[in-house]
Amino acid sequence: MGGDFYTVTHLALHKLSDIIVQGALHWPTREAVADASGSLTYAELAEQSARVAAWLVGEGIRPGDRVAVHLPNSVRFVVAHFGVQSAGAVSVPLDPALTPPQVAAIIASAEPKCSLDANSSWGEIEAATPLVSPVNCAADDLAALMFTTGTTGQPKGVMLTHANIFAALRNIVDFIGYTEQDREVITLPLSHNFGLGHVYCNLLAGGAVYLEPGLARVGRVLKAIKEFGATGFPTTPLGIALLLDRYGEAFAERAQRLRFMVVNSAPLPPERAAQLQALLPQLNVLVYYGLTEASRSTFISLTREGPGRYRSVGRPMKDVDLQLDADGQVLIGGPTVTPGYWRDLAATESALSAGVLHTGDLGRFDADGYLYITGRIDDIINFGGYKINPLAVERVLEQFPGLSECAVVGSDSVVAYYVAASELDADALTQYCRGQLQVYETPTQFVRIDHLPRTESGKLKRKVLISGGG
Amino acid sequence: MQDKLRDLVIAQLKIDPSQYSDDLGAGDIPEWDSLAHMNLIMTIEREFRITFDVADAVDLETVGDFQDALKRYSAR
Repeated sequence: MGGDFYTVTHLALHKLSDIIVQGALHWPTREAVADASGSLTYAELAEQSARVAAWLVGEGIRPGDRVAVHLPNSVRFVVAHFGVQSAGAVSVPLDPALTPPQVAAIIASAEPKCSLDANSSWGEIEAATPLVSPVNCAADDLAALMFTTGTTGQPKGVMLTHANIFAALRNIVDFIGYTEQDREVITLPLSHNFGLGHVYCNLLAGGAVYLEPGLARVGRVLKAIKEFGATGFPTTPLGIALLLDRYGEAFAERAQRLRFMVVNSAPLPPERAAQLQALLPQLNVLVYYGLTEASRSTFISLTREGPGRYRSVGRPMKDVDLQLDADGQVLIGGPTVTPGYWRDLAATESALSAGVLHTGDLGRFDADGYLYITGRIDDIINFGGYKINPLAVERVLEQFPGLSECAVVGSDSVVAYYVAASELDADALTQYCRGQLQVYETPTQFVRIDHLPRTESGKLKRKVLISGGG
Repeated sequence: MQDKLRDLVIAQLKIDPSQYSDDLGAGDIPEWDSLAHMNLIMTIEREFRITFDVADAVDLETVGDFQDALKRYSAR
């Protein structure tokens, strides 16, 4: 259980590259990471990452330099990411689903000296003489820049130190009780903390991960769950809906070894939790509350707590100082909290005050200290776990010829209300948005209205549109 | 049947016709994600008045897979 893990790692590890060094020492021949094309043991993972590190150092990468990792979920992603870490550099994982303008905006902000992607010289990299040992760095040095869309529509790079990540990992490993026997199938993008965190946890505990680039090829995912012998499967409420509504029977048959599922990114409806639990009674259904800026701050086992707490996101993790301000906003302090946003003092000062993160989420505690998230203080749309900034979508749409103004709202779907002299072609609007926004940001419905509802002072009344008025 | 499937896939995924091919599959393009995949299956079932068995549905990945499955189901 987690206790054994702690005796091995708790005192010794302080930088991410230590994870694979520890793995190579303790479990050299155990499988560490796999995908549809093959797998690597811990020793092989460490060696291949050391080759990437050597190549990066040879290319002039120095501690603190940023290196973009622009690859789909795969063994190569993990090798590249830990290669960057072993070179003492800062990983900038990029979601393969980003549009070219979004990638360009992140590159302009992060200024990576190098990118590891499909076009990198992999033959040369894999032939490099491995670095003898990882470049050393301090726990407070930056390990990764995790980019989010941000409230202004401009990408924001959340700075995470090695210490931030380890503080979170120790809590997660302990709460879930990861062991050497754990094997997880991960379809969540590794460019986000949720997916990448599960890779870290398994590699810390001596477990293994199988990587699949998303849930779209669900047959392959279900096959992997069975053949890989998955004991864990992190996913989103949308993923659960997909599995239960369409493939419930096949999922239940192939998930016999599954001991836990972690669900995050959006609220898990209680009826879904009950449905999942009924389908797989042995399953430990876990939910957490976490932002990229502070990792997992609360955790709950819905299985252990029962239906009465299906709407809760749990209690604060060890060392996480979680409080509500006078408005009910969730504030988070402690070792998991980011030092700020990359080269964005205004955003940092807006979100962080004396090291305390102002999340923008509204919440309440019950008498036993369990947190419930009740809403947002801003207009961010949470669509199936994807955070959509309506202002960013509106800014793009307002450039469309003939459209004079618009407002984007939504929850189950993203709807754009627009004002124009005549009806605009919805397909043309869709294609236009897709050229500049991600697919999930593109409105699924375009509704022409005479005028946008506004207050006397001119402020947009989004709630009127959300309730279907216009 | 082929033309109808083609029209449905293009309309459902909102893609350019030039992107359509027998090899195009779920996850190959951002437009064909897991949610779109589920919606596509439901649309095809509705338009062709069939219901894929779960065992068949899990193996539907590409346009070619849909073509093969539709041939099998229409022959039933």
